Amino acid sequence: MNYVKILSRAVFYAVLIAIAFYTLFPLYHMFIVSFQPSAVGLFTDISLIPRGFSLKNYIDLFTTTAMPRWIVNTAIYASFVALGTILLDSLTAFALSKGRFPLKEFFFVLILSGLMIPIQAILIPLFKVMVTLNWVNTYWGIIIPGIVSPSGVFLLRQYMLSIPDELLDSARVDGSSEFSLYWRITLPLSTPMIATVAALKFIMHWNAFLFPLIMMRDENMFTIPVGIATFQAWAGASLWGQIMAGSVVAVIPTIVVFLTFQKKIVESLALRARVIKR
Amino acid sequence: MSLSRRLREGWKKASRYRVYYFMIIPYLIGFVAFQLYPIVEAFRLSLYSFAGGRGGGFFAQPVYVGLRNFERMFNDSIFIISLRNTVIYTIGFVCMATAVALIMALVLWENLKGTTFFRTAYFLPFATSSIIVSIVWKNMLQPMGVANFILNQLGLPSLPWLTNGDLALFAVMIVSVWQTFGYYAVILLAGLQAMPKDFYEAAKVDGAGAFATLRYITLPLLKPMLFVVIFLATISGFQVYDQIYGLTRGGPGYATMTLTYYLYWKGFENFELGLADAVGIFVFFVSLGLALIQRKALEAGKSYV
Repeated sequence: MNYVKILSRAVFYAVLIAIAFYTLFPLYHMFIVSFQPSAVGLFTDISLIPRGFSLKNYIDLFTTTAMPRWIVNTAIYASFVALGTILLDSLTAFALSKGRFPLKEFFFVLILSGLMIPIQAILIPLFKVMVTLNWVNTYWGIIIPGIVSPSGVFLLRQYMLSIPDELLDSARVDGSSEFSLYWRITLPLSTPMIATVAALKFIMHWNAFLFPLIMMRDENMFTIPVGIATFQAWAGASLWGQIMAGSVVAVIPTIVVFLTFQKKIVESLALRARVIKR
Repeated sequence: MSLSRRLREGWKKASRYRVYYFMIIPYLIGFVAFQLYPIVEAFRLSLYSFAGGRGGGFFAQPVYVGLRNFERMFNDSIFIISLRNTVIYTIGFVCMATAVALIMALVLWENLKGTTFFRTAYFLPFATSSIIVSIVWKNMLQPMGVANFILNQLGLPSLPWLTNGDLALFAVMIVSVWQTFGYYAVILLAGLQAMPKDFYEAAKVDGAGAFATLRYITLPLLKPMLFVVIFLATISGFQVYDQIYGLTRGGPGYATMTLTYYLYWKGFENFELGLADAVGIFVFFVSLGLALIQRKALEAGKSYV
């Protein structure tokens, strides 16, 4: 190896490590501060030089706020959106990829047009719909709109297109109904993409903020992000230890899901980008 | 073929279709109820005024006012500040996020030891809740926070991150870049890995240096993917909300007030629904315009390669 090569290697690694510090330090900081005994006060260098270990922040947060309830709410919300998405969107995607019927392309484009609508543009009328349905402060109010997801339909349809038609045709000849072609053949074969879409939806809705914020008016119905944001606004600068403890609880599930499905998530996001490009 | 037989065949054929229509109907009902109807209603509501304040809001009787909401919006100096902030923020965010993502994608493409770890480390913030991590950053950016401690250790002065208007908008950019650049880098990396190898072999044979290869082969080939990243970043920048709520609540003063924050504030705190809705329509048209520009840019980019 010549000197130029060694030097360029060194520069590359310096950049890689500096940027990794940028991305990982805030997570490390949050984690360390959450375990600091609040009695010592929070010094500026607390995460660089920890002053001890204590679970007091977690205990206080779980006993003085509705945090246990927020965890349950968020888990119900994110899981049911993920589950609903893979059922509803996969059925729709099956019809749009394997079905033969007039106006198929029209319906596909119509459904995809939902991607063009920013949540901001429909926030007020959507909330009015929820008031009319009496869904404000209910799980339905945040779960059902989350299930209607153009990106889920898109990714699943794209995947199902790669399943050979001959497979379905031979089952058709044997007299299978279209629904059983969906349920017994296409759905099991789409498992990798279904898992990816479910993981993406779970992460997205576990983390969602703006819509749950306007929908959940009762403290017992808050999701973790809404609860922690409200708690932080109320506590001001005095209870950082508890706020960080809540943050750790908020980010760990999505990080675990993300690390488990990382490869698939990367592939599906790259696929989506390639399609925008086209 | 007799008529009755043809009718029967037609009916049979239609019943083959029918099952597919039944399959998409549940989704279409949701689409109409939660996407199509709301966007149509959004256009209608933007032409109405609702009595603001406590007694008004979502139960108030709307009054038709034509385009007055839009007129009020453009005459409201806070809206103009929000618009200006949003534009500055979006430009800054897009430039920083794209630059960092491009550099990191190119470095990761080198396939050095540890690439998998670094890629995961960069992409990880993407999986976290933006409101939550903004609150964590708020803690770090306090006057006596760990960010200033690190600056001091490096011999640099403390910075009033969230209390100085210009710096606060920059702080929001840093947090947003932190959360999203890994995602953009992964998209660019996928683009790089999909590139045809023969170009590079030809360049090597011709004795092209690393920079010439980057300048004349890699970047032109990557251009369509770069456009996609810039487009995604612009859309997300234009709609920024969580980071503002977590870090600054629009402050100090109105220095970090952005369009979505303004919309939330007008609609859900002041209950001026017609006005807030007009802001939503404005955001809709800007997003649509950006998508059209992106389409044109991509077509132009294609002819380049």
